[in-house]
Amino acid sequence: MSNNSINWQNLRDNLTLDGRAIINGKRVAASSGQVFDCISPIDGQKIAEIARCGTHDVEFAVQAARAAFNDGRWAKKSPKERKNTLINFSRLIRENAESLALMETLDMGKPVNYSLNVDVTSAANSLQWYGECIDKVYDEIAPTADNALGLITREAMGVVAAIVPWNYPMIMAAWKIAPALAAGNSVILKPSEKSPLTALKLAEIALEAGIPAGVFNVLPGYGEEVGSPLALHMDVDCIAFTGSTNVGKKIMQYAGQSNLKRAWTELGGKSPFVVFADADVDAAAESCMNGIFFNQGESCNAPSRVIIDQSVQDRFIEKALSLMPNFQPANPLVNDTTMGAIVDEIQLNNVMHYIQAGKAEGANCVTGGEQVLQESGGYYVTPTIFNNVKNSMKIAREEIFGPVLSVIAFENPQEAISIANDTPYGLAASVWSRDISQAHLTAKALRAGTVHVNCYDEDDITVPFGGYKQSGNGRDKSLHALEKYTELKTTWIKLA
Amino acid sequence: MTLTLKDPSLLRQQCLINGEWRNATSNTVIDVNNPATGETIATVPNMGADETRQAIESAEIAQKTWQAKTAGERAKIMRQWYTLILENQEDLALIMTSEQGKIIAESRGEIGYAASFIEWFAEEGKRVYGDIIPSPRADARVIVTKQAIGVCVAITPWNFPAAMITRKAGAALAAGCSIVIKPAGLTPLTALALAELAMRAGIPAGVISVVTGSARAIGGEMTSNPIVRKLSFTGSTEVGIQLLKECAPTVKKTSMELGGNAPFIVFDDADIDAAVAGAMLSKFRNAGQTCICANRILVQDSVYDSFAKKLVDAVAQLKIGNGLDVASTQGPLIDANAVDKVESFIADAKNNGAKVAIGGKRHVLGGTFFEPTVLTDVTRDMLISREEIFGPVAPLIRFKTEEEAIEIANSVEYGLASYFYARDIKRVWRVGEALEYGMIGINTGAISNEVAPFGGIKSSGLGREGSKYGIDDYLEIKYMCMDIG
Repeated sequence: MSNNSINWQNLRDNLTLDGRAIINGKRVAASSGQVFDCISPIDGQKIAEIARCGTHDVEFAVQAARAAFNDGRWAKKSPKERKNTLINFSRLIRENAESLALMETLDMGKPVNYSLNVDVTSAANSLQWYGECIDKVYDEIAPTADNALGLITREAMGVVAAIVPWNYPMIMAAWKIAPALAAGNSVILKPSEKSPLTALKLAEIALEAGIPAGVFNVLPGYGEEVGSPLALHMDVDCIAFTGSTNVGKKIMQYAGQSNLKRAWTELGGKSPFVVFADADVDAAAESCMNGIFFNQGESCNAPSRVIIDQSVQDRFIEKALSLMPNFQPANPLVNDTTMGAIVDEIQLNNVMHYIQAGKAEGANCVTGGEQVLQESGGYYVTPTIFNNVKNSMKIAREEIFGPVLSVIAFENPQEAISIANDTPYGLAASVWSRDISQAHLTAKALRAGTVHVNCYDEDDITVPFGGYKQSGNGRDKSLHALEKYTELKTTWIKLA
Repeated sequence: MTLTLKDPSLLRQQCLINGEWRNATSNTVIDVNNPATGETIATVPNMGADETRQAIESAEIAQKTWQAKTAGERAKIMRQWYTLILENQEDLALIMTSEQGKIIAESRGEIGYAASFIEWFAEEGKRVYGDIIPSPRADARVIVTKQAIGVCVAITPWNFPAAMITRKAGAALAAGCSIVIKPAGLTPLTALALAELAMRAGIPAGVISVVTGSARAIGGEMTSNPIVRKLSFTGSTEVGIQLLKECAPTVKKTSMELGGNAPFIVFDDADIDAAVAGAMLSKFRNAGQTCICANRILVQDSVYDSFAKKLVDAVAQLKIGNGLDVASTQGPLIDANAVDKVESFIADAKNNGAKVAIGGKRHVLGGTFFEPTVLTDVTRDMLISREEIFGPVAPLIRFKTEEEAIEIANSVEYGLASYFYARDIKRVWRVGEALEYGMIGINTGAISNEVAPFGGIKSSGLGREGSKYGIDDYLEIKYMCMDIG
């Protein structure tokens, strides 16, 4: 799609936003009647009022989801019928691409060009891929004696709750609802209070696509008021969460103290980007800049720690600095903008706090570190690189979720691996080397759910995504994601 | 000369048919000779079509009860066989070196390798899963199961007298098949000793039979008998083609592990010392008599001379002698024909401009001993580059570019094993994907193990042995459509 011709300001003027929840196939206000303001980080303007759902709304949604699951209006459709509906859902997302992209950008500040060509496309692809796979996933027959037949089948779990963050609102939602719906579950989606608009629109589109009422519900609201009741609910069978490690730990606790619902978490990261002396350093620097500054640095798998052989550190920094003009923040509604606004004022303050901490601990800020474009009313930070960082510093230990890169030098390869793994997180990693043995050995030694070799973040829906250690449990994407939303059943049939 | 075994009853000089040790109906025998000394060490029955038919008919009856056991029950018996093979490793190695000539350390290694297939397939037999396919109709169920193919036969070569048998028999038995084996006429004693241990392990009569004698008569019965559902052969491409033709009228399933012409490519970014070590392993193991031995060593221009010098230095360290002497690192060739063939290949290469860097002639020990040889200035059109050498000769071909190396490597009719040494990650992937071979050793000269699929493309064969793919060669797929409306 060519978007250079799209006049986003015109579209914005004609955009109508509905902030009501979707429960059992209908748009409804919160039962308390309460709303909260949706503020655009582009200019600080209020753009909509959103239903502030609570415990009662969670109750209604769970009842609707359970009723839908029990009567089989979706779960008992043939895999082929579910496939066709999900493919239709995907097609309608593509038809609504422009308005979805605009909502996403107004809501959380990323460049509209990316909203359109990355977020909408990925979300649509995810629904299509899981739709297409679901009538091709075979079950198993156990190797038994002739007098018995042992069937091993996968069955939908029932009611699945999904809680997703604000950095990739549509993609994170699609990674969870697509496999959950494909498997035949009913779903309740809670988007972040910072980015509820596209989730609500997706639920409308799903109804139009033919997903029956009650099968896909969306409850906007705050974590304590919607997320906690879902995680504690005795009639929710599974909860899938993407977000911070702190909240992820609570989700696991709530699951345990209620009905032992299956709890899956995709959490924070502090992903190492390891560059050896024999690497193509220019290509590494370019790939790293694209990785860390994409989406304003608000990515759980952002390569936020460069761990580099000291002999090529200067060359890396030099190349990185030459690329900085490509990543300067600007109005996200302009088509060639590559860095948009930070999601809100709270997050802006977090990022600036980390930048101050880096300077205070003695790291060398070689570029960026400034809040800019204050006159717009929005929240913008320049792309920031710290050199001479030690892995013990706060900026190297904690997830910043902003456009801040730490560069750490090493003297020998063994040291590189131990620095890379010296983190509570284990989501993603990258290794750069021309030597096949070095690349393989390092890739194997890195304790992370995804390792990229001589690239970053170039994988697709066919491979699993998720973390080691405190980056969470379970995997999104690929056929393995279906394991999260199905139970295994053994049926042992005596034949003789 | 007699062998001094800890357990003399392992030296069986009769064939095993339906659990009974038998002589040939004609009461004639064939001699088994030690290639290191030329002495006759034993005789085995000279059987033909009649005895083979009896073995096949008993295998048909035995297969039904063997298949009816659970995979777990079969695995238990197979594990006992595995344990007995390892317990008798020294005796089996001694028998093997005495009839085949390979050095005793390699024989011990082969017995361990051979046993690993019995253990691995015994376990894998428990994982023969079927599928349930989502039905296009609400009132039907689509179920797929896998079942043993039935009676199998195996014809095996002399270069690996134990392992080439167990990688067929292990998969066949685990799947629930019975098997009749014709070992090579030059190395039947190892096969008969393995059969003796199979009986002791409790493998039921008729599930494994071993028949020795006339290759033409035994092979003819195996390929024409309609009871046989599957033939697995390891040997030359020429014989493989003949067997495929003979199997066609009764549409037998076949697995064919045939000849090779392995390229061993050394690129300019390789670790040259590691490449030399890998080449020694790949080229001179079993005196060069394996189907995956490096047959053409392609070396890039800029490292050709240093590689050649280091290879010659390494070859000079080899000690030629009787395999039973622990100081030996290379034994004799299998027979006089093998020596004649190697000699004629070297003569042809020299006539066309190749130079002998070391070796090149019969060894002073006489008999079938041959000097380990390195030839330089070899070109792709010489006989030695086009055909399988099966002897201790390393021909070095010079090349300039990566494209040229790949083109030379792929220009032969074979596609079994290949090897290359390089460090650049992009080159490694490029070359790995471009080589038209079933197996590729990357920065290594040793690729064989029980968990990996062994087999070739092009004229090197059909099917795979070892690994989860190996058991598929002994299974049939059955689809059941069940109406439950």
